[in-house]
Amino acid sequence: MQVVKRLLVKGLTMLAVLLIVQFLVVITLGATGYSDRMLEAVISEELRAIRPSLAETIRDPERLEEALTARRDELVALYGLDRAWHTRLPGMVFRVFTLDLGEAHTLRSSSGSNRVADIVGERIPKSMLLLTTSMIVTAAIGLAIGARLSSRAGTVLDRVVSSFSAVSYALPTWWVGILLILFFSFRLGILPSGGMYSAPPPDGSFLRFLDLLYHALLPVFTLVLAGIGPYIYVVRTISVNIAQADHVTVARAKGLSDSLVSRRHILRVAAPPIVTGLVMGFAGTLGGSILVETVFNWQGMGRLYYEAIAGTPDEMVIVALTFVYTLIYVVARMILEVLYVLLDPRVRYG
Amino acid sequence: MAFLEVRELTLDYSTPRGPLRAVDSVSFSMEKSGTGLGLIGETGSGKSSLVMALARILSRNVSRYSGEVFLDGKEIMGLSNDAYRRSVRWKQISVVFQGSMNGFNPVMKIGKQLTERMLLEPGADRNGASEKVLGLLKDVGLSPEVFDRYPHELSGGMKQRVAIAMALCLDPRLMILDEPTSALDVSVQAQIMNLLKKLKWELGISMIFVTHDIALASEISDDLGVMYAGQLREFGSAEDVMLRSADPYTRDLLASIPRLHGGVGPKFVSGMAPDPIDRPAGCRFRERCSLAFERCVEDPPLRPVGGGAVGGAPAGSSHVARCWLVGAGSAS
Repeated sequence: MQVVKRLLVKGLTMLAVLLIVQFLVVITLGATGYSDRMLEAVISEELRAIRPSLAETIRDPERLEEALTARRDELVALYGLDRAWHTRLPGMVFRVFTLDLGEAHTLRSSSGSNRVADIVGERIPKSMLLLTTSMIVTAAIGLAIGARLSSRAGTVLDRVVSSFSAVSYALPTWWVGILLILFFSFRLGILPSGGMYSAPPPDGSFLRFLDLLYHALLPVFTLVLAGIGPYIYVVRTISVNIAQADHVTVARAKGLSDSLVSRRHILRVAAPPIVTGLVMGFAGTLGGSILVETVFNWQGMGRLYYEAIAGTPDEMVIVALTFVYTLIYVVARMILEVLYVLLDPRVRYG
Repeated sequence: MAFLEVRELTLDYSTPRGPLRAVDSVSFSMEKSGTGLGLIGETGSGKSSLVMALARILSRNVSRYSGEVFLDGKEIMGLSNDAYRRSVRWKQISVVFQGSMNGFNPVMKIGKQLTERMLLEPGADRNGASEKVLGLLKDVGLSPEVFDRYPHELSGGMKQRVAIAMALCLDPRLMILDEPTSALDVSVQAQIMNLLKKLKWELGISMIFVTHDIALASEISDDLGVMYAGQLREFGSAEDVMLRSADPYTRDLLASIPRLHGGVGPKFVSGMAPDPIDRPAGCRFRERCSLAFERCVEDPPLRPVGGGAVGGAPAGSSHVARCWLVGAGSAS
């Protein structure tokens, strides 16, 4: 029962996180006047687009201006620009929650749809491919190296890897990406500098998949390089600490083999904080992936974020993307909570 | 043939200031199995290091580990780590540690922690192991429910009982108890001591009991050894050591126990034990001893009390002490 209650409380907390993030986005967009300027730009653009067709039916310049002003007022009312941002934007937040994502002002999906749900939806799997692949690679390498280092704490190898961890932690992901492009694409010419498929893409779904993997190599490598250092260090340090615990001495004294001791009495005990480190690292990678996708021209949500902010501004898409990113984070956190309860019997109480 | 014979057991730790000799060629024996040996001494005297060396539980910074240990006439120090693990650990020598509070894997059920070693034995099956563990839990006075509990659900006293049950699961010949009650309150301490006495009596298990509580040691010990600065100071039957102690250090130690009756207050042993990295030559208790005289600058060997033989006689059940006054007849 306590488990259910605990998870319920966590779930509600996560829901609150989702709400708060949405409100912060709204305040950022509204209070800075960014939303107003974006809508102004959209309206001017639309008016410029309909002026020629209106001019054909309305010859009188004065009446034309009148018609345009009327159209303008219509659009202003439609987009809610006549209201203050704090009355206009919150409604948008709640519409996002019901997945009624509305229509984008300028951006279109690859099939030409202007529904935000379509635009964002087609990008989600592309981003998840990068994120999950890099997380799995990071977890596998980090666990293997970290666990091995923990039994060699204090050696030269340990110090070298620990220094690398500090460097890796400090590296800006996008900068690593640019360096890797410079080296592997321009100097060596063995890996593509960006994009998801070759032009033209190869025939056959299997070959297309291989082509996708080939293009994913550098961005995944970038994300792994930036995330692996801190993760190795987390695994190493936690394992070193647990290896000094009394119960490990007892396990050795009982006559268990070294590998059994390290698996059952060190790594298993270290699992909860190690999993936490992984999920938190994943949350950190979410931010990094936005820039990495931009650098590598990977057509995922991160690239879309960049386009919706810096390219052709589109606040609906920004709000929707923030929602999806936060949702991914929240889901990851909830998975962590459930895993934690499964891994550590001590948290099942209180 | 003695049940356990230890010859010149020596253990050094490497420290930034140089090697630290925690156990300095200690020799003693337990003649019969099923008896109890108490090791007493102040903090840092090497009593824990001695028993950990016996059980080959060595920390990383051990720089020297030498000597001979015969268990039932079979030398076990020369065994490779792997052979020692397979044939001696827990099967012959088991250990109940000082901090059993933290001696359990926090994410594993008690039952699994008690059976896991048994299941490594050839021909072991889960049901048999579980049954045996349930019996052991009953022996140490715990309900069978404990089997399915996690360590954090048990009290300190319960965990200590589980630790004792765990040490019994492969029917070892020798059980080493390193201050098994020092973390417990007095009433639980008494319960554990009664349990240990019962086990010693009923199962005929030999015990080495390490403590700095002399009264506690005397309860369960047939023989007593007094450690000081890495050396054995005095060794003999509990009666001899307690009532007819020959070594000035042992006597000072006994005088430091507060007594309820008699009107004599406790006396403290003044001063500190010598720096273990830079010990002075000669008798190591010299500087704190009220009876020190010229000869104490020479190293005293362990000598039989009451006998005249001079030389490093290994401590058996006969009474030996490390003082120049022993045997001289003027040690009063």
